[in-house]
Amino acid sequence: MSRGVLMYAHNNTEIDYFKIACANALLVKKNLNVPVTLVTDTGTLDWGRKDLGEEFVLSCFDNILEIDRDYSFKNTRNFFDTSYNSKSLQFYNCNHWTAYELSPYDETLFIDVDYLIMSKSLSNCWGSNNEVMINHSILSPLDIKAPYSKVIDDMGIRLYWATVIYFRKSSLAEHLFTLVKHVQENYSYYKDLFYFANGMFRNDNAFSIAVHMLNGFSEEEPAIHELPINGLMMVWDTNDIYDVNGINDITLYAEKTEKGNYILVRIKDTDVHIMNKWAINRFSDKLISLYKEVV
Amino acid sequence: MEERLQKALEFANYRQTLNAHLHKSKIKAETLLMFSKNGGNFIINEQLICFLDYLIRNEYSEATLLDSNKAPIHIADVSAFLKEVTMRYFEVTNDYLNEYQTLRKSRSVRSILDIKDKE
Repeated sequence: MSRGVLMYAHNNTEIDYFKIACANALLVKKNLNVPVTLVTDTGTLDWGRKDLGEEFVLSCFDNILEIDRDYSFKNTRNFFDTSYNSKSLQFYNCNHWTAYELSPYDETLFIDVDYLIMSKSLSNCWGSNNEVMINHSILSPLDIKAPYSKVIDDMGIRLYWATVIYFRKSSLAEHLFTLVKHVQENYSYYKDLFYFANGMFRNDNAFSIAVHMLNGFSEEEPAIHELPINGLMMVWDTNDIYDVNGINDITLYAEKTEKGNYILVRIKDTDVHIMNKWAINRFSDKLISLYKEVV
Repeated sequence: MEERLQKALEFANYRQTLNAHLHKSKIKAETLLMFSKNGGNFIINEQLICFLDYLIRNEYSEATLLDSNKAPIHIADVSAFLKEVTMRYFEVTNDYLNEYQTLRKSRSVRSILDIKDKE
């Protein structure tokens, strides 16, 4: 049984997803000790090679799959860098449904590049009886913060986070990705059906709908279970990184309930989804230099 | 600001940081107490340990247990499984205790975070 991690990186004009992917690939190798495959496009890869060097890029990834980027796909979102700064940029996320076909592994952990693997927790997935696992539960680093919506909309279907998905090559996993593709191709219909607040394409929504369908339009006896962790640790883009202290050790500025009122939180040996891409970009070089030494 | 009020507010800020770190340590321990076996996922807790001990005392050498998703998982060697989960339980709770005590002893935000001045 082959096992590995799959990530997608497509840069926009300001966010260097490729560099974040390189840093996170080193974190994966250190903590999960499995190969990493990157799906990217020619422009992003050329930039990455030029910036970081061919040799280093090859040391991060076991496979690099270069795909054609669909430049007609327009998906604008606000990228926040704390509550004080945001920029509207393109967010290229329209190809996650291809993960099933592109993954070279029998068992795949499909993760967002900004979900930093700082522990061995996801090793619990390997060999699972569940063919697909995706999380509904999330956690905040602050105990005081009301974290999130549990449903994708007022119609009340459960929100699943496409940040981390485990799948084994199986018919159930294939069905899931086929349905995600279907939802994406008919997104305006599903947007109206479920009253999404805005028109931006979100994989979380597409996967939530697909999971809902695969669960037989019910939440009673789910066919798709959660990952063997007690939740995804979410650090919203209104937060920032204070410093990377060492291996699997980051201190964050976490915004409390009021804008601009921060508390420092140190995260150690815990996987964490840092949604402020600017913040990870600021610390990518430090992460790379730290983990290069130990991988 | 009145000195007494300033001290009270500083203490409130310290408590908030302390609570956030205790919360985070608990999350870490809970995650580490998730244990995979034969494709199933178990949450290691006192209930699981007591049930395994009950099975052993009643001479069940193998058993089918329900995992955290209520899926049946066959355990061929209950004694070995108990040993594994107990070992993990104590590893995690001992680390949690150390972290917990360090946090409780920290009397300032700086010491909770072990912050060193940036160069």
